[in-house]
Amino acid sequence: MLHIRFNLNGKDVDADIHEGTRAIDLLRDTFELTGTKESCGQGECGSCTILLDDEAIHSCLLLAAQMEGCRVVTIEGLEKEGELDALQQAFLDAGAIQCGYCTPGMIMAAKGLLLHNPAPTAEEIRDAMAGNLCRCTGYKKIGEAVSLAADRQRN
Amino acid sequence: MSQALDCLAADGEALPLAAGTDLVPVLRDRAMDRARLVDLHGLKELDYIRFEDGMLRIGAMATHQSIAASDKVKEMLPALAHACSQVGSAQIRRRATIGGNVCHASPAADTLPVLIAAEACAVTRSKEFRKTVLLEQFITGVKTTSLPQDSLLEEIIILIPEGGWKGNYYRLGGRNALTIAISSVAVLKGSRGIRAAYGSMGPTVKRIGAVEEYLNSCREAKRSILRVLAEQNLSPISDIRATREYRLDVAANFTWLGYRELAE
Ligand SMILES: Cc1cc2nc3c(=O)[nH]c(=O)nc-3n(C[C@H](O)[C@H](O)[C@H](O)COP(=O)(O)OP(=O)(O)OC[C@H]3O[C@@H](n4cnc5c(N)ncnc54)[C@H](O)[C@@H]3O)c2cc1C
Ligand code: FES
Ligand code: FES
Repeated sequence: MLHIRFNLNGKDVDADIHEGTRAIDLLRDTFELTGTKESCGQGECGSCTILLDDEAIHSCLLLAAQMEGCRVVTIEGLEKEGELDALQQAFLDAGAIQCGYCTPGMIMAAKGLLLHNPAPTAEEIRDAMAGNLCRCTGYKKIGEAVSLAADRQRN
Repeated sequence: MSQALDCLAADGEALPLAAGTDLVPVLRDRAMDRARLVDLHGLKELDYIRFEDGMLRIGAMATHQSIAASDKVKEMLPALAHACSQVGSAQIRRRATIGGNVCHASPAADTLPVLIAAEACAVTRSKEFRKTVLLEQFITGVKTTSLPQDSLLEEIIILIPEGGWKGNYYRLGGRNALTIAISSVAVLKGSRGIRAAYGSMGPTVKRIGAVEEYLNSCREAKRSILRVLAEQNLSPISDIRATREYRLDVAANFTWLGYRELAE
């Protein structure tokens, strides 16, 4: 067993884990943050994307132990005082959600992009989101939602 | 660094863990709870890209993203910046390291054709020794290296010719993100002529001397001859993604394309 401490959605937390526990399992099962979804479990679909020290990464490829001392943000951490994050609102407004299973991963991948690049081009958006699969929407509206959020955040 | 080396030396079964994008899925297939890992994430001193004494030095913990975006790499070995930009998806590139890519030693690893064509060396460290080996010799087989269990890869060094290494990296995948290379070729030109190295075309990434001799001595490279040389020197497999013949065609065509682009 290992004892780890990290910052989760703005709060300092700690947990006892097995060496082999994956980050996604700790987040979903122990912290009950089930917004983060697992689909492929091997880094190919992006539905488990979270922010680790402001980088969008796959929580299915991350061991919980690797979160030690880091700042972790999941989809649940975006809303501030009852206000949706600009990305969440833009996904709703642009109609970029159908079944919603891919949406938390899409939004976290986009969040990672906007933190590094507040004014991305359409191509930069496609590149940052290329590792996120959606079985419903066809991606066009997802790209538009990210642009819309970027525009609103800058104005 | 010395703490990580102590941990590895003290436990003969411990494995180094960089970002874990190769290792975590592998461990999951085995009984992961018993794995003992030495997390290298805190080794910030191995996350660097430097140019010193005519050598490009890239620390093992440098990420694909930082290499792809590095002005130094773009100037001195642009093919490597391009290769790193082709790895996985943004989520993978922002975290996964060159050290993990090299030590995992996949025949399809995207950094290896460029590094091997540029005659890169691996610098390794154990508690007692610091060694420098030619990367082509460091990689010994499919996903195996000559690195002893108690050692770490510290950095990759590449001698940069006057004006930098010219040339590019060519890779065929299925779609843009998340497909490993079906066939990949680096065609580079340094002060001693053209170098060509091949990925996904056999158990290890390797240069072909006969191709290099031909490219350096012919007046104009012929695709048909490059196809024969590929057939004689490479041993790709046929699998669900591509046949052996198709991989050989692609490798020969990429070599020809690389040669033509160098001539322009
Ligand atoms: C969905 C997906 C897509 C991918 N696409 C590509 C692709 O397109 N091209 C490509 O080349 N790769 C690809 N990969 C493979 C992988 O992401 C890369 O090889 C990556 O660079 C590995 O780095 P890492 O830091 O995650 O290594 P880890 O997984 O942490 O380590 C890999 C191996 O290297 C060893 N190791 C790591 N660092 C050191 C060190 N400093 N010293 C000694 N040993 C060390 C580890 O013990 C382990 O055996 C992909 C992986 C996934 C999951
Ligand atoms: S569940 Fe992590 S990438 Fe698919
Ligand atoms: S909205 Fe259904 S998978 Fe994307």
